[in-house]
Formats: sequence, C-alpha cells, structure tokens
Amino acid sequence: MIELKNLCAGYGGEFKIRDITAAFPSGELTVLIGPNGSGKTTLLRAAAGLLRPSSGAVLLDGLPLKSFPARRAAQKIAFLPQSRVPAQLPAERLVLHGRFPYLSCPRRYRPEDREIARRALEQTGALELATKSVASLSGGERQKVYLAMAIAQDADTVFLDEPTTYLDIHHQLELMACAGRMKEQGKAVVMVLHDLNLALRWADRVLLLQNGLLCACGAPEEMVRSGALSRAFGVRVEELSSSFGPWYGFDTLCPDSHDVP
Amino acid sequence: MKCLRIFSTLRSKPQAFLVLGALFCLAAGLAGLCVGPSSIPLSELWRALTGQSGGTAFAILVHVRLPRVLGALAAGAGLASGGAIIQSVFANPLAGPNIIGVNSGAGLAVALCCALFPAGFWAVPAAAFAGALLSVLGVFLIAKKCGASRMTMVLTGVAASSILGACTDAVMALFPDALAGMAGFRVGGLAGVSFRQVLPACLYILAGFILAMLFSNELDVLSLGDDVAQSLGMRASFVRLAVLMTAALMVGASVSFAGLLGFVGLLVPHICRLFVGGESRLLLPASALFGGALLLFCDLLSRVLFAPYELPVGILLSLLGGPFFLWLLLRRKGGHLHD
Repeated sequence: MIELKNLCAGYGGEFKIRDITAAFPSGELTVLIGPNGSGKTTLLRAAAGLLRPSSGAVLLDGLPLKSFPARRAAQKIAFLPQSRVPAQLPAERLVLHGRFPYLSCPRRYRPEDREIARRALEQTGALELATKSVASLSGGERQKVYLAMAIAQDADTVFLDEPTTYLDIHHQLELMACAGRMKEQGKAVVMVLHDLNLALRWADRVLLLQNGLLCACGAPEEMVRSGALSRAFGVRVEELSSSFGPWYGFDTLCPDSHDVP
Repeated sequence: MKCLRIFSTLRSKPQAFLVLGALFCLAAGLAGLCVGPSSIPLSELWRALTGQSGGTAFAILVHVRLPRVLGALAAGAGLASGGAIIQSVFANPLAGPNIIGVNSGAGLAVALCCALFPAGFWAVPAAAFAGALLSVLGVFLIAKKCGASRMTMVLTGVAASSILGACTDAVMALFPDALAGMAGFRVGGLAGVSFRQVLPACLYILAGFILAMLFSNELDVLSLGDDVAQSLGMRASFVRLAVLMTAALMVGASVSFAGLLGFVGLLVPHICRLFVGGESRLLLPASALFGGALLLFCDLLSRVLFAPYELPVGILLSLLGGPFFLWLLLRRKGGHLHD
C-alpha cells in the first residue's frame, strides 16, 4: 500500500503540492479531482516515485519508497502517464514489456510472461488487437492496450493519469469498468479524472485538490453534500435522478453570467 | 501491382525481410569480390579464397577487394544499426548519427589527428572513435543540465554539430597540407582501405551490435518515453547514456575508416522501420543487413560506373538514396490514404 506523509513536491524548487497526507488502500478506487493546475498530476507522479519529493515521504508497505530498487518498486507500482510517445510496436509486444520489471539475467521474456500478457490483453478486451502496431490504433484501442500493459505489470497499486481523456463515452465507460475489475482483484487503483460525473459515480473515495493542497477527502456523495466540490470548482452542483444511480448537473455560480457580452 | 503485393507480404513477415537482407548482402558481397578493373570469375574466386591458386587473383582479393567488401559491410551495418538505436532513443525518425554530433565529433578528431600528428595515420581510427564518444558524452551532459528530454538533446546535438563542423573547417584552413586526405574523409569512401584499418573496427562494430541486441528490450522500453520507462523500473537517463555510447561505438568505428557516411544511418533504419516496425530485436538486424547491403552495392557501383575513375561512395549514396527515400515517403502517404 502507498501512503503519503506530509508530501511536498514540485518542479525547479517551486512547490506544486504541499503537505499532502493520504493513503491508497488496496481494493479501492481513489479518484483525484481538482481544477486545472491544482497539482493532481504532480501528486500522482510523486506518489508513483517518478518525481522526487521535496520534503515529506512516500511509503510503500510502510517503508520509504526511495529505499526500494527501481525494479522492485516497479513490481509494486504501475503508472500510466497521460501523454505518451506513439509506440511503433505490436500491441502484444508492448503489453509484454509490462513484464520488464521481472526480467532477470538472460534478458528474455519467459513463457509465463507471455501468458500473463495474453491474459491482460484478454481482460481489457484487446486480444484481437494483439498483432497490430500500437501507433495505428484509435485512441480508445490504444488506451486498452496500455491498460493491459499496466495489468501485466501485476502491481498492487496502479496510477492512471487522466485515462479517459480523448475517449468517447463508450470507451470511457469500458475503461472505468475495467478499473473496477482491477479494484475487485484487490489492487489499489488511483486515477486523475476531469469528468466529475465519472469520478463521482465510480470512485470509492475522492481526493479534492485545490492550489496544491488537499482540501477535502471522502466518499463522493459527501463531497457534493458538504459543498466542497462546488467551492473548489466555483460551480453549482445538482443531483439528478437517473435509473443507473446518482448523476450530477453543473452550472456556473451566477446564472446571469451567460448574458454578459 | 506485383511490386505492391511483395511490399505488403514483406510487411507482414519480418523474418522474410531479414532473409531478403541477408541474400542482398551475400549477392552484393560476392559481386564486390568478383567485379572490378580485373574481374575474377566465381570459380576462380572459390579457388583463390581456399588458397588453391596463388598469384595476382589471390593478391587482388586479399589485399584490395576483401578488406573493401568487409569494410563496406561493416560500415554499412554499423552506421545503420547505430542510426536505428539513435532514432529509437530519441523516438524521432529524423534523428541520426549526424544529428547528435557523432559524425562531426569523429570528423574533428580525425582532422586534429591528421594536423597535429601527420605521421600518425595509424591513430586515425582511434581518434575518430574517441571523437564520436566524446561528442555524444558532451551532448548528453549538456542536455542533462536542462533535463535531458529528447527535444533538448536533439537541439543540443544540432548546436554541437555546427560547432564541431566549424572547428573542423578551421583546422582544415590552418593546416591545408596535412589534410589532403580530409576531403575524401568528409565525403566518405572506401578506396584503399586495408585490413589493418578494417579489422579492429569490425570488432568494435560487432561488439556494439551484440550489446545492442542483448539490450533490445531496454531499447524498446526506452522508446516508450521516460515516464513509462521509469515506471517499468528503468533508470531512463542512465540507460539512454549507455545505449548512446553503444551507438557511438558502432558509428565511430565505421566512420574511422569509411569517412562521414552519415546518410546510411538516417536512410536505412527509416526504411526498415516501414517493414518491420519499431521492435528493436527485428529493427537492429534488419538495419544492419540492409545497411551493409546498401553500402556494398553503392561501393560496387562507384567502382564500376565511371571506371577507371572512382566516384566516392558517399556521393553515390546520397544520389541514389535520397530520391529512393523520397519515393518511399510519398508511397507511404498514398498507402495511408487507402487504409
């Protein structure tokens, strides 16, 4: 399990996040939300060990993350960045590289690695894409393949940075369902989302960031009810009824502002 | 249309592409041994190689053609697979040995070596190699200061290339006598190479290639970007340096006797990528085979076309390779429209 203790981090001496204390327990889907520039991605990168904390600590199973060798840490933590270089590899090869942290001395993938990669592709519904080049896939297909890579990595904690951006609604829901299955397998899934409806509907716990500070943390309904959400984003939130659970509508704080020329 | 069908078959079967490359190498190599001012028929070639016939044919083979063919094969393979590594590392098909300053570093080192130690021509390969390594290291360290992202490295490489090129020109202007051979070196050519130059370079190139193949998974992961590489437990900047040093080893060794033939390093991996994709374990051998075959072929043409004069192979390479490269780019665009 990953725990953050008074974590401060940033780029070039400037703090983007300050004094964050949180934990990402296994079997839970935690969603980070917050306005643009509130430090969500910085928090995710620092928690995944890609960004060195300026102060405070990231603990992995109770021990400082930096005391783990990179390979050991990668067996425990998977991270999927939002922007990626288009990979000119066949999908199955890309997913197989999810087993990279487990490569040992003859640096070749073993048959069991191939089996794990195949099952990961199956789990994200991307088995038929196996032989295609990742660069030739559509955004939704590509996301499935990358998710399969993270699954093949077989880490306890999976960090996803805005995994639904640029996906159509069908692929968005498919991805969230897949994240839900990973959670049920006992993984801790942590993601940054911009779509508040997706966040509120699927999250077990929401961390709300504002100006680099953790300003609220709790169950989705709590966030809405306490007004924290509407304060952080400067919007009105209204619960709507739908047959598939709670759904929310948003509007600007002053309705008249639409008419301002 | 038949041509297009072959094209798509090769795309779906990377192994066939590799076999084709090996066949090209073999054919061009044999032709390179047989054809020349005095032609040696195949039957004679076999007897001369196995030492059954001495005399002129044997002497020509061993002292002139064999080092030249071996040199062309090794330099082509070294430059092309070195270029493939550099392209993967920067995830940029425009990157190449010239871009990150490997060539110009080697060029400057050779110029300095010729100017300062006119008698020490034996040190030229070592100097070229050292120049290539030092320039890669320099580019890497400067880029690391500003974050070692791909873009900064390419930009640093371009700046370093122009500085090193200017230094080379300055050395050439100040020591015009010692550098009579430098013009040939800059264009690139294989005329008059000897076993003494080629064999050590071949060993370097072979060692670099084996090393690169052993770490082909690392190369693949590195090509996915730093964040992905790091989250897969790789120390991206360290591996990038190690891999670039390997590429510098291969390119420096090639440049040391064949001159500045940087274009092979851009052209061949790019073409191979169209057929086998970006998987290093396929791309590296494909680049090596086709790079070797291309250089062998161009060297052969350079000897035959205007005999008894010889066109430097570098010129021919650009004249043949450039248009072919453009044709491929145009064709690929057409292919995308029909997909």
